[in-house]
Amino acid sequence: MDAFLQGLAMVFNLQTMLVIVAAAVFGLFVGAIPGLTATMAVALLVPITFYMDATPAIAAIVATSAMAIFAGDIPGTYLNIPGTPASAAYVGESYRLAQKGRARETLGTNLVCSVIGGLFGTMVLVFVSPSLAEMALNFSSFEYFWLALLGLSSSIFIAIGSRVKAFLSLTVGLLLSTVGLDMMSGAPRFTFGVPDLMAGINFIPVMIGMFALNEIMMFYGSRVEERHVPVTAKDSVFLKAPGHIKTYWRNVLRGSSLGTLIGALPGAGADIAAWIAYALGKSRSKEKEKYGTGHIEGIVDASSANNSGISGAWVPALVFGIPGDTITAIVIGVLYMKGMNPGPTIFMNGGGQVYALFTVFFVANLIMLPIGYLAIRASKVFILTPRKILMPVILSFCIVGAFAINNSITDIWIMLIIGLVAFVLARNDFPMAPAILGLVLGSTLENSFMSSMLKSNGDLLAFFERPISAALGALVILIWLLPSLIRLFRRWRSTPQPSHKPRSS
Amino acid sequence: MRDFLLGLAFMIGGGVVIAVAQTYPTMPALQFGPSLFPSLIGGGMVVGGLLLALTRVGQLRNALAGPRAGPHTLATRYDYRGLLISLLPCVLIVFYILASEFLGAPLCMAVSMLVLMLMRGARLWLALIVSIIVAVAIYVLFSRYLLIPLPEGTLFSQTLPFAW
Amino acid sequence: MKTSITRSHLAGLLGLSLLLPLPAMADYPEKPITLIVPWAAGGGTDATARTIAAALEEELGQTVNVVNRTGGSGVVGHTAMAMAKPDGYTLGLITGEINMMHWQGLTQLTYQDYTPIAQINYDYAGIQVAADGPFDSVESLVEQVKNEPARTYTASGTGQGGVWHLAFAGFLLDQGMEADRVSWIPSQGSAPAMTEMAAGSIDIVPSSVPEGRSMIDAGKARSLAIMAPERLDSFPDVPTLKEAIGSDYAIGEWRGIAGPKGMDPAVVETLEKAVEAAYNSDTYQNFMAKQGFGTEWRGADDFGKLMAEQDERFGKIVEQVGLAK
Repeated sequence: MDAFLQGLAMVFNLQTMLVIVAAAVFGLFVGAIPGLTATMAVALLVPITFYMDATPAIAAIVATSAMAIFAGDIPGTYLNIPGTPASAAYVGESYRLAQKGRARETLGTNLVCSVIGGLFGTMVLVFVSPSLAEMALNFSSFEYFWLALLGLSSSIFIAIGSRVKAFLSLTVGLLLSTVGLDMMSGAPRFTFGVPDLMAGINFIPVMIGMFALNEIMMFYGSRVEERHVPVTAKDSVFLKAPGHIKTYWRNVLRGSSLGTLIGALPGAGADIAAWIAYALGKSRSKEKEKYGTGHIEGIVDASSANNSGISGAWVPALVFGIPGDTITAIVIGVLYMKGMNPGPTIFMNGGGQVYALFTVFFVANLIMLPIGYLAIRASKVFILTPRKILMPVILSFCIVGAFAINNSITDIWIMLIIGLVAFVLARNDFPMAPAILGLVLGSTLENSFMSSMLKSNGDLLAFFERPISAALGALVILIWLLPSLIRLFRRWRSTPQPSHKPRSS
Repeated sequence: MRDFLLGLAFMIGGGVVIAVAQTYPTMPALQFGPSLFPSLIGGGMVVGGLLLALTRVGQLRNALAGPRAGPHTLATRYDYRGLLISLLPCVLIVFYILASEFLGAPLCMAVSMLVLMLMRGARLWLALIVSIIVAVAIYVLFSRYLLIPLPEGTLFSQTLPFAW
Repeated sequence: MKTSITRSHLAGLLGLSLLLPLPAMADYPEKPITLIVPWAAGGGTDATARTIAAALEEELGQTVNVVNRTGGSGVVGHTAMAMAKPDGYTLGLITGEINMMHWQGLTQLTYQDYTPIAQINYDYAGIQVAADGPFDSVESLVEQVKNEPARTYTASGTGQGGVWHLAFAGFLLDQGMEADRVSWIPSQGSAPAMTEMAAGSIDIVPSSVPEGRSMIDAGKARSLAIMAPERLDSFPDVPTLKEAIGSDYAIGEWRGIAGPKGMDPAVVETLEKAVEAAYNSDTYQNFMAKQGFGTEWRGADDFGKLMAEQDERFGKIVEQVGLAK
C-alpha cells in the first residue's frame, strides 16, 4: 500500500501533470500532420527525457503516443487524409460520416473509443501482462506467416466493390514491399542502382501519396469549388457517443481485446491492429452492407483497437524487454537509462516506480478526453478555411512530411509516383486499402515464410507442426473456404440435387 | 474500356516483374530464393489483369450489342483540362525537388502554394500572405523544433549573414 | 515608402554580408552539426549516437542533430555519410559493417571513403542459447554441431553477411568446421532473433551479450561464452572462449565517429578533442555502463588503422563463408 501511495505521489504533482498536458498537446499536433507518426514524436522526445525523472519521462511518452494515434483521425475525418498510419483503416468511413455533417459526432465517438481502448489495454497491462507476454513469446516465424496471411486475406474481404480490383491493388502493395535489399539473401531487388531504394519503400510516403496527394489532385481535377464537408459541424461532440458505445459495446470490447493482443505481439503494432479489427468488425456485423457508406460501427472497432494496441505493446516491453512496436523499442532504451530495467523482476523490485507507471497510463488516457474535446472543437478550422487555401498548405505538409521520415529526397519522389499511380487507380474504383496493407504486411509474409523454410530445410509441413501455428493455419484455410462452403450448404439446402460446383471467390 | 486497358497494363507489368525476378540468385540449401515472391506477385498481376480485362471485354460486347451504347461515353467522363490541371501539384513537387537545394525549402514551398492558390482564384494579397507565413512557419517548426534538416538553400546561406 | 524600406534593408544586408569574413575554419563549428546514424531509432547504435550527440553538444556549444538513415543493412546511411560535403557539418556514426558490405558487393564504399575521427565503442560477440535448449556449454555446443549432420542447428542475429553472422561463421572455421555447418537464419537484428530463440525456433544467437540481456535476465536465455580476450565488467559470470575451450578467437563490432573523405585536418583535430571529452563525460560513460555496452577509445589515427586491419580480416571471413562477390 505504501508503494502504491508513493507511486500516486510521483504522478500527481505539478511537474508530472504539466509534462503530461504538454506531451498530449505535442502528440496532438504531430499526429494530426500527415507524415509525422507517433513513433517519430516519441523519438524526438528522447533527448528531452534525458533531463527528466523516470516518471515524467515515461508519462511524456505515453501521453504523446496515445494522443498522436487519436489525432490521426482528425484530418482523416475532415479531409480523407489519415494523420497516422493507424487511422488509415477506417478513414473512408469517418470521412463519409463527416460528409453527412456528423464530423464532430464521429470524432467524439472516436475519442471515447480511443480512451476506452487505451484504458482496456492498461488494465491488461496491469493485471495479466506476465501471462500475456508469455503467450506472445511463443510466436515464431511460423506463426507470423499465418498471421500475415490472415491480415492480407482480410484486406480482400473488407474491400468494397470488385474483388479483382482489390486483389490487383494488393499486388501493387506487395510488389512495393519487395523493393530493397532482400533481408534473407542480401540481394538488391528493384533498386535500379539507387542507394536509397536499398532500404526499401517506407510506407509513410506511400500513404501520403495515396491519400493526401491523390486527394489534392482530385480537388484540382474537379472544376467546382465544392466543400466536401458541409459547414454544419455544429453537431455535439459527445452527445451521441454514449449511445453508440451502448449499441456497439461488443465492438468496443472486441476491438480493445484484439488491439491489446496484436499490440503485444512483437512486430505488429497499432496500425495492423486497426486493419484487422475493422475487417473482423465488418465480418461479424449485422449491417455489413452499411460498411463503407459512413457507418459508425466500423469506427468503433478500429479506433478502440489502435489505442489499445499502444498500451498492449508495453506488455512484452516491460516483461521481457522486447518491443511490441517501434514506440516501445525506443521506450526500452529510456527505461534502461532511468534504471528501470525491463524484465519479469520489474514488477517485484519496481515498487512505487511501477505503480507510478501504471497510474501514468490511466492519467494519460483520461486526459485525452478534455484535450481531445478542445482539439475537435478547434478542428473546425479545417472547414472554415476555403479549400483553395487549405489544399496548397496540405501539399507543403505532404512534401515536408515525406521528406521527414528519412530526410531523403527519394521519399518525395516515391510519394509523387505513388500519388500518380493511386490517382489513376482511384479514378477507376480500385480500393486503396489493400495496397497499403500489402506494403505493411508484405515483408513480414515473405521473411517469415523464407526463414521458416530455411529452418525446416524446405519442408512445407513444418507450418503445421507447432500447435499455435497449426491452429492459425487451420483458421486461415477455413476463412478462405468459408464463402464457398456456405454457398455449397445453401445450394444443398435449397435444391435437392447439388450438381453445380460452387464458384470459388 | 479503361478497365480493359488497366487490365492489360497489369498483365504487362506482371510479365516484366516475373522476367526481372528470374535474374535474382537462389538461396543456399533451398531451390527458391528472392525470386519466389516477386514471381508469385507478378503471376498474380497477370491473372488479375486478365480477369479484369476479360470481364470488360464481355461487358463491352454486351454494351455494343445492346440498343444503347452505355449512358456515358468517353467524352462525358473525361475532362481533359481538369486532368491536366490535376497534374499541377505534381509539377510543383518536381519543382520543389529540383530547386529546393538551391532556393531553399521556404521559398520553394511559398512559390508552390502561391501558384496553387492563384490557380483557384484566391485573392493575390491573401494568397501571398498565407503562403509566406505558412512556408516560414513550417520551416521554423520542422528545422528548429522537429530537427529535420530541410534544405536552407545555397543561394541564401552564402549571401545572407544569418541563417534562415 | 514600403518599397524603400525593403530596398534599403536589402542593401544593408548585402553590405553587411560583404563586410563579414568568409567562413574560416578557426570558427568551427558555427552552425548545427548533423550526425547520420545508419541504423533505426530505438536500437543500440541509435541510443549510443544520441548519447554521444548530447555530450558533444555541451563540448562544442552547437546543436548536434541525430538523423537516422536506415535500411539496406547499413548501406543507405553509410552512403549518405560518404556523399556529404566534407565541411565538418555532416558527420556519421560509422559501424563495422563498412568493412563487410563492399566485400559482398553491396556497395563500392570502403573505409577509405571516410575521414576517421574517433572510435567510441567495441562490443564483442557472445554465444547465447535458449535456457531450455540442447547446449549447456561451449564445449558441448562444438561437439554436437560437429557430430550431427550439417544444417541441424540454426543461428540468427543479423541479416545475411552481417556482423554476428560473420563472427559466428569465423568461430566455426576456427573450430575446424565448415562456415555453414549451422544454418544462418537472417533477421532484422538481434532483438527479433532473441524472441525467435525464446519461441524455440532458433538454437543460437551469437550477438553481443548486452543485446540479449533482457532475455537472459528473464531466464529465457543463457550466454555460454564471449569471443573476447577478457571478461566483460557488466557480465563477469560469462567466460571467454579462451577459458571455455582454449581458443584465442576474438571478434566484435565497433562504432565510431567519422566524416566524409577529405575533411580539413584542423576540423578533425577540433572534433577529435571534443569527441574525446564527450566520450569521457559522465553522460556517455554512465549510459554505456547502464546498457552494458563496451567502451573503447581510439583517436583518429588509431581508428584509421583499426578499420584497415579489420577490413582485411573480414574480407577473409566473407570469402571463406562464400559470400564474396
